[in-house]
Amino acid sequence: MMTLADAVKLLARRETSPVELTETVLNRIDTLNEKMRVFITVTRDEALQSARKAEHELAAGHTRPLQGVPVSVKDLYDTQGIRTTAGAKVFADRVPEQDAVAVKMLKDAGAVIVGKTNLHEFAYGVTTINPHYGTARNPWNPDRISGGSSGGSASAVALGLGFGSLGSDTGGSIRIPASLCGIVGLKPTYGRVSLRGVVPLSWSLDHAGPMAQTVQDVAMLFQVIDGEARKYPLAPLTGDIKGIRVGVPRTYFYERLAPEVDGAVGSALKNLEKSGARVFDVDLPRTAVQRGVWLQIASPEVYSFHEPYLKKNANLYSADIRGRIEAGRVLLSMDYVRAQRIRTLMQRECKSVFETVDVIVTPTTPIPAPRIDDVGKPWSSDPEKAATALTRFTRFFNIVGLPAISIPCGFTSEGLPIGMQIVGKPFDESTVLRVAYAYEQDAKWFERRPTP
Amino acid sequence: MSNQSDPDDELSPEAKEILKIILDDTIGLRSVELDSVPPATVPEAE
Repeated sequence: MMTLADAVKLLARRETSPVELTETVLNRIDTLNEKMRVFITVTRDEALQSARKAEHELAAGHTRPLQGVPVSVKDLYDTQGIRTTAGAKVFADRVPEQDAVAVKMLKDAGAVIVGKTNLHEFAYGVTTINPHYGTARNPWNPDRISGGSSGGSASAVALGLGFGSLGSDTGGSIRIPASLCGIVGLKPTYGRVSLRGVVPLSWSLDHAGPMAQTVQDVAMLFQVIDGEARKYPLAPLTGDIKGIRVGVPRTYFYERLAPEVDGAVGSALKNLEKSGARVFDVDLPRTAVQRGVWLQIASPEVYSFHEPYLKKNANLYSADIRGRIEAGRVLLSMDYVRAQRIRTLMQRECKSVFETVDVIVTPTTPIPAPRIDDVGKPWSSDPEKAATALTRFTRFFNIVGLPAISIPCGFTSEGLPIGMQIVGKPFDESTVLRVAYAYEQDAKWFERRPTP
Repeated sequence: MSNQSDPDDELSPEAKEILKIILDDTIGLRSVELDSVPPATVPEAE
C-alpha cells in the first residue's frame, strides 16, 4: 500500500496527480465506508476543489510539503463550513466558522482533506462504538473494535482511505486505536500541537497529534502541525540508535498482559538491543494512584465544558456518556487540586527517571482489539473489563504530558496487530521518532496490510 | 430551610455507578504526601 511519503514523491515526479490520487481515495471511501463506518462526513466536493487547486499550483511550479496529498481529520477538529459533530448528536448540525489551527496548518501545507472521521461520542471512550454514527470497524477484523476515541482515523489510515489523519488523545485516544489497527500514532508533548478549534474533552489532558502508516509519514505530518518546530526542530530519521538508553518499567507496565502481547514486546526489546540500544529496568512513579489522578482531573474538566449543553439537551446524549459526564459535577474541588499536585510530583519523578534513560518502552495496550460484543466483559480470568484494560498503559503519559508514540510490533495468531509505546522527554519527539523509525525499518511490520 | 438537595441535582444511575468508581480510586490520592508541591503546569524541556 502506498504511504504518505510515497504519495509525496509520486506527485513531485508527476507520476500521479492530486485529482487522480484524491479520486482514488474518495472512490475507495465510497466502497468501504458503509461497512466500516470510518467517516461521519465525506467532503468530496471540497476535496476535489482542493485537489484541482493543488494541481494548478504544481503545474505552475509551486510546491508545498503535502501538496495534493489526501488526508482525513477526526470529527473533533473544527472545519470551516463543514459540520463538526464531535461524534455527538448534540452537535449534529454544528458548522464552525473557522478551521482549527492544526487543520489550517494542514491546508496551508497543501493537504487535501477528504473527510471527518468517526470517533467515540465526544471523544469520551476508547471503543468508537458510536450510537449516533455507527461503530468504526477494525480493518483487520470488522467484528472487532478499532479502538478510540480516534478509531475512525486509525481505521481510515489502515484501509488506505487517506494517507494520514489528525487524532486527539486525552487518555490514549491516538495510541490505542493506532495499536489496535496496526498503524503509527504520535501523542506529542502537551501543548506542542495547538488545540485551538478542537472540541475539548479535558483541557489539561488533551493532546492533538498525527496518525499514519509509517513513522516517516507521522514525522512528515507532525512537522506540518508542530507549533514548536523552530525551537525544537526534528532530527533526520537515520535508523541509527547505537547507545540509546531504553528504560523498561517492568512493574505495572509489563503486568497482566495477554501472552501474545508479552511475547511481541519482548521480541521488540531484543530487536532494539541488537540494533545497539542499551536496555535498563526502571520504575515509573505513582502507578498505583495514576488512574485516580486521571479521573479526578478529567471528570470535573469534562463536566465544566458540557454543563451548558447538558442543561439544554441532556436527552441528546447517550446514557453512558451522560452518566460519565454528570459524575464530574459532584466531585470536590479539593480532590481536583490534590490530583493536580500529585501530577507535579509525577512529572518531577519522571524527570529523574529520564536522567538515566533516553526513552521508555511499554506495550501500548495489554490486549489486542476485543470483539465489539466483548468490550464490557472481562478479557481473561482477570476481572478487568476489556475496555478498561485498553487505557492502562497510555493514560499515565497524558498526566505527565510526555511525548509518546505507538508503533506496530507484531500480530497475534488471529492476525490482530500488537502495538509498542515509546515515550520520551518533554519536547524530545526527535528521539521518540528516531527509536520508532529504527525499529520499524528493522521489523517492517508496515509491509503487512489489511484486506477488508 | 431543608438540607434536601434539589431534585435536578440528583445523579442518574449511570452517573452514580461512575462516581463510585472515581471515589474508590480517590482513596489512594488522599494518602500521598504533598508538602508544598504546587499544582501542575505544562512540562518544560530540559
